[in-house]
Amino acid sequence: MNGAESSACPGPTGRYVAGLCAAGLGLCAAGWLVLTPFAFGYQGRGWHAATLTDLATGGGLAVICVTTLIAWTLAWRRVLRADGVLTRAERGPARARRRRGRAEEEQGGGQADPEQVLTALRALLAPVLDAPAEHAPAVAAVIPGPRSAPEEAAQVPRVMPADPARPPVMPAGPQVMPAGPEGIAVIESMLAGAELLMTGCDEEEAW
Amino acid sequence: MVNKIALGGLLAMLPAGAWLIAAPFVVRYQPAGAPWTGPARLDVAVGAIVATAGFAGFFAALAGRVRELYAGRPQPGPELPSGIES
Repeated sequence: MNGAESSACPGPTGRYVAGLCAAGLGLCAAGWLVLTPFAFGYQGRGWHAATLTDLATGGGLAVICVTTLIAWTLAWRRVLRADGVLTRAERGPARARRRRGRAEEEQGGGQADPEQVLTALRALLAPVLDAPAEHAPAVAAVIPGPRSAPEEAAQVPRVMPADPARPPVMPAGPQVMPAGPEGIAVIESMLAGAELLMTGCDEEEAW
Repeated sequence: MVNKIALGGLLAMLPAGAWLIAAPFVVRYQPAGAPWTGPARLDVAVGAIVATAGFAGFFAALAGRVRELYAGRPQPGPELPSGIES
């Protein structure tokens, strides 16, 4: 379709605008018809035939045009909602909103809030992060490699003795988090990465 | 359903306008052959405007709907025969 054709043929928005404009014009005409017998003074003492015709036609036309306007508005809103342009606003009394929110929470109870998970993780790791290097716990976490098979991960010892005299042995395969200050740095970088990921997800949802 | 009501409303404006044009002669407040009275002139003018608006609005909305239907149909792939022998 070339440019001339696309300008002549109304688009999805033009369709609704055309309908609304035509209905609005009809509503104005209806108002005019109702007012003219009195405005132009051809309504004498008795009911003139033209007055009755204009009032009846104007009233009927107003009803038709109001219905059409409402229908076009609803149809356009529905399309905008479907396209994600309009979002449903929270309405109603506060109690009903709270009840709705509670019901939504119950529905999505299986999904953990990532922010809550991060906070809980911080609370759990707080003693590790605050402890000095020499008092670091003797247990280090095991991070399976990205492509490590489950049996490989099972072979790796999960508990490593933190012996300061002997350097930690890094087994081939899954990556083992070192104990001590290096491990703390790794945990901190993991937390920072998780926060970055959350921020990225939020921005993506906002788009 | 809402779309049908909307299109029907625009279509109903067409007979309403036609009625306004015909009303002076049907109700006989405009005698045939007599000079045009104010109400008759006004009704005919408003009726013409309403009928034109209804007609134009209906076909503009219908054209938009047809365009949406054409845009939503599946595009034939290059491997499908077009049916036109060159």
